[in-house]
Amino acid sequence: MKSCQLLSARKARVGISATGLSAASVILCTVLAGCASTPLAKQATALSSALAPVVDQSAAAYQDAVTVDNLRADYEAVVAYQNKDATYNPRNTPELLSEKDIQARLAVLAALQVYSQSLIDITKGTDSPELDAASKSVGNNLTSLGNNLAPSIENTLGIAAAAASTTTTAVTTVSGSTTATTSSSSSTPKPLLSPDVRNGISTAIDALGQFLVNRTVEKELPGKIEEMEPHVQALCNALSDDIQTLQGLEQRDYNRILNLEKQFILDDEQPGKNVDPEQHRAEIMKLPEIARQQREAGEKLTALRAAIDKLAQTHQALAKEAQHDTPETLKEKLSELADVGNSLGKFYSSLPSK
Amino acid sequence: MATPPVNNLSASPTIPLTPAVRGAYQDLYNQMQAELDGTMDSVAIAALNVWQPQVDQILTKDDEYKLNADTNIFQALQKQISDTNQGLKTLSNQIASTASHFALAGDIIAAINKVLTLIPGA
Repeated sequence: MKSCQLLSARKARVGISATGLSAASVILCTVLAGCASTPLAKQATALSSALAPVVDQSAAAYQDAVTVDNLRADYEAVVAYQNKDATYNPRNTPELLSEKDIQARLAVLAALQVYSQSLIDITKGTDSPELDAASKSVGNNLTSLGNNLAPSIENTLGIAAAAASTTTTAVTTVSGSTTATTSSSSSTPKPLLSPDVRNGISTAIDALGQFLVNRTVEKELPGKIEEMEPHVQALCNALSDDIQTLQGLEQRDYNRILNLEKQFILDDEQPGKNVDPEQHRAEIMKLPEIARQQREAGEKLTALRAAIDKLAQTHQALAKEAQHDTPETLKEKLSELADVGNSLGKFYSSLPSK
Repeated sequence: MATPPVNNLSASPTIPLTPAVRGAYQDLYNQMQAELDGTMDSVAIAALNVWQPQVDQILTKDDEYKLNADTNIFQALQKQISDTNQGLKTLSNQIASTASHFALAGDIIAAINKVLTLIPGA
């Protein structure tokens, strides 16, 4: 399958075809097709190969978290019915991440990669109208989605609060002869991020978008890198914290699913249940598969977070070097930044696709 | 028979949780998970499947409050701690009276006691 088709297929699967990322992909594909033998094509290929896997695999990592959270909700429904919990309403089941939430995160990740690659292109003089157009496209897309990131991160955190604040759990004690009920009232949702953090994310996204739209010339680069440093840090911190929160939720979701599945299996073995043996074995065989998924999901998000943290560290070193404005060491740091950007893509492309 | 918990948090814990208190809840969550992972005893599993999610909620709400010191989250966490700690006292008694069902009975009770010692009013 050609890279254009692959990208299209990936976008279709993750549902982001309507975003500006698709426009950037089309431009990159055009570059690849039209300039295959030029140095530009080499740059575009590197950019494309780094961009596509990270977008695709990050989407997969985020969607894994959504899938397991939905699965936990299914299990909790069973518990609610077993406990005859009249407050349970399947329509009130919250969604961990919407497609829009995922798009906002992917747009920022893609923009960070295009940004790191753009720095290299500018210093090497390999900038081109096509790459400039791709950069503008990603930048504009980022600006249009930028205001969604902070609310989306809050949404991820707020879901946990909403689920907890509206749940009434009927509790059966060890003896089975008594029950106790724990409940807590719901509270009015409020922004979970402080105004400073919200503004920081918004400003950083705008700055990154503006950099990609307006680009710059080599002689202005050191100053621009210094200007971008706090914004890159703000975005990387926000994404890193967001991933850490998602990872905690995801791991606890998996624990809960395994624990309930085990309880259901053992309940089915009680005298008088007469569960179909084949069905019973099938239920038992779900356990190791769930455990494997938990491990893989944890590894994906750990690696994604590590890559983002590394990107932040590398950019910090680059910005420090830019203050000295020493061309050779600056280029060395730029190269390191590009390596980090590429490693994001390389890591994810090494993971098995779903 | 449903018995609503009594919210009598006489000594309010510091919120966000201090590292010691958070660590105590995290350790309790982990001890419960270790028991759940290593047992086929349906009595133990049924009991822990009730209270481990409540401990989980304390950790989650504490994370939320750290990100935004919101009054509603503060109150929700305070109530969650109170309700959960009341339940943990019951769970501790249940484990003690049916210790043969719990391979890690001593560890879980010790973890519960640590929590209740750090937040004596709950």
